[in-house]
Amino acid sequence: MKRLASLIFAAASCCLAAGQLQLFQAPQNGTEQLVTGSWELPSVQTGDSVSTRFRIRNTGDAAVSLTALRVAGTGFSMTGQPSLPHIVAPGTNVDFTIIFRAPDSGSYSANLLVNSTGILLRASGVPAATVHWNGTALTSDTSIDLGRLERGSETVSRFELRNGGRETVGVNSVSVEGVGFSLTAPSPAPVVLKPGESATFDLRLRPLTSGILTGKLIVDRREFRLTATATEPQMPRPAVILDSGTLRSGQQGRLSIRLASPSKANVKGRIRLDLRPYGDVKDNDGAARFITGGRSVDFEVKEGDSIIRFGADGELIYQTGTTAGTIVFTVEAGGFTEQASLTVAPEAAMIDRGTAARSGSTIDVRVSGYDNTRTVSEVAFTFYTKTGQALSGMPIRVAVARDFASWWTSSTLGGMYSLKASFPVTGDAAQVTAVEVQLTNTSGTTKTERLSF
Amino acid sequence: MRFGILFLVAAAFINADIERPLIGTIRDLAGDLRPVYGVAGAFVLGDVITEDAESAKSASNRESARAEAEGTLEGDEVVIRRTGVRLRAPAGVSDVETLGKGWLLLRSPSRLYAVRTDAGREEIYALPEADK
Repeated sequence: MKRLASLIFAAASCCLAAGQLQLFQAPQNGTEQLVTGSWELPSVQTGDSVSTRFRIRNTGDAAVSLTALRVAGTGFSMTGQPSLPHIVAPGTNVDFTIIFRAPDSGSYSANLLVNSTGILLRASGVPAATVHWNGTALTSDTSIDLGRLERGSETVSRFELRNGGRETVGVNSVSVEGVGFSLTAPSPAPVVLKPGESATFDLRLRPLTSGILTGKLIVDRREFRLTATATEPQMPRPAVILDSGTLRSGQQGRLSIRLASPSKANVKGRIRLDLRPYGDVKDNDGAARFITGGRSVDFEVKEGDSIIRFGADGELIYQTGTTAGTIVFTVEAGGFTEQASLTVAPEAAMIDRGTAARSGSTIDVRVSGYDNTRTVSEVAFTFYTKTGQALSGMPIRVAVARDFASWWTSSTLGGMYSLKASFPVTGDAAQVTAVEVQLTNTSGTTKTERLSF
Repeated sequence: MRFGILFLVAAAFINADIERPLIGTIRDLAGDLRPVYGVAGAFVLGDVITEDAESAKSASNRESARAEAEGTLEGDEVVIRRTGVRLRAPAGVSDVETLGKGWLLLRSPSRLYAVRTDAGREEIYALPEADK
C-alpha cells in the first residue's frame, strides 16, 4: 500500500533566499547537484535507513542569516545542522544530512524547510525481511557486539530473518566476512518468507588472535557491523622444579619450569636467580648464575606447552657459585610469580687445586679454591723432606684474614681465590720435597694432599 | 741428619698474592678470545682479550700440541688419555681442545663444555655464556 504524505510546500525557485542561498545535494565522492523543488532519496529496504547530505551555499556577495532549517515527514530526520540563527557568509556552505528510515514498504515524503522555502523530499521503502538479534531489529548503522571471549574459544549467536510486512519477501543471500566469523551451516538464503514467516541462522565466532575483532554480516545489500573482543587465555600456573633442594657451592644444577596443564596462551616470561648470602656477606658472586643469560633468562610459552623449553633442552642449567646462602629462583609469566629455593650450606674452605714448585732456592706454592663463608683466617704450611718427615717448626701458620678480606672486597667472583706463596729457603732446598697446605675458616679446616715438587 | 732450613716466613707472605683462579683461555662461540676463571662447577668467562697475530698463533700452536696429549673424541665419548676414563659427551659436541692444565674444552654449535681430567675427578661441566 502506498502511503503519501499530504504536505503543502512553498513554490520552489532556483534560489532559496533573495538571490543568495542555493541548495545542493552533495555526495561524499561525487558532483554537487542543484536541488530545485523536490528531491528523490534512494530506496531503502524496510527497517533500514539511507543518509543523504545536502549543502546550502551563499552564492551572493552579502551575508545571509539562516533562521529556519528543518524536515517534517514520517521516517525522515536531520543531523549535522548548525544551531540557528546561523550567518552564512558569502561563498561559504552549510552542510546537513537527511536520514530516511523506512518503517514499512511504500512511498514516503517530507517537507524540507530552509528559511521560507520548502523542498519536497521523496523516498520509498522496499519490502524486505528484517534482521533480528537478541530480540532487536537491526539496522545497517547498528553494531552487533558479540562480547568478550578467549582466543581459541567459540561463541554462537542466533539471528532471525523476519517478514513483518504484508507482502511476501525474498532474501537472496546471507554471508559473513571477517577473520574468525562464519556461519555454522550453509547459508539459509535464498529463502522466500510469506507475511509473518521467519528463518533463523547461527553465526559462529572463534577468534584466532586476541584483540578487537571486526566483521560484517551481509544480508542481500545490507551490511551489519560485527565486533567482539578476544582476550588471551590465562596461562596455567607455572612451577619451578629443581633437581635438588640442597647443593654445595661449586656445583651445577638443573631446573625445569612446568605448567599445571597445557597452556592455551602464548605468553612471554622470565626466570630470575637471586643469591641471598648468609650474614653480612656481599653478593659479588659472578659464578652464581644460569649458564645462559646470567642472572635471568627470558622464555616463551607456546600454546600446548606444559614444560618450558630452553633452547633444545627442557631444563635450564645453573651454577650455585661460591657463596653460602639461599638461592631463590623466581619465575614470572602470565600474571603469576612463583618461587623455589635451595640452600647452599657454609663449609670449610674448599681447595680445588694445589701445586708446588721449586725455583732455585725458592719454593712457590699455589692453592686455588673457594671459601663460601668469606672467613678464612689462617693458612698453615707443612713442608716435608724426601724421607717423608715434616721439617722442624712445622706447620708455618700465617694469619690471612686481613689479606683475604681485602681480596673479597675487590673480587667479583664470590668466594673464589688463588693464593700463591713463595718461600725462600736457606740451606739445601733440594731436601725439601713436599708440602701440605691447610686453610681454616669458621666452618672448619681443609688440607691439600701432599704436594710434591 | 738434621739440617736447618730457615724459612723467611714474613718475607714469604710479602710475596703472597691472592688473585682470580685462572683455568685457561678459550675462543667463545662468537670467536672472541677470553679467559676462563673459576673452579670446578663454578666458572666465569672474563672480558675479551685483545690479541695480536703472533700471540694468537703461538696460543693456537700450544693448544694443538697439548690437545693431542690430553683427550680425544671417539664417537659420542670423550676419552681422557692420561686416565683412560671415558665420559659421554653432550649432544652436538664435535671438537675437543685443550682448555688448561687438567682441563679439556668440548665445543658444540650452541654450547661449550669444560672437562676435568684429574684422576678420580673426571667430570664434564657446561661453561657459561659470556655476559653481553
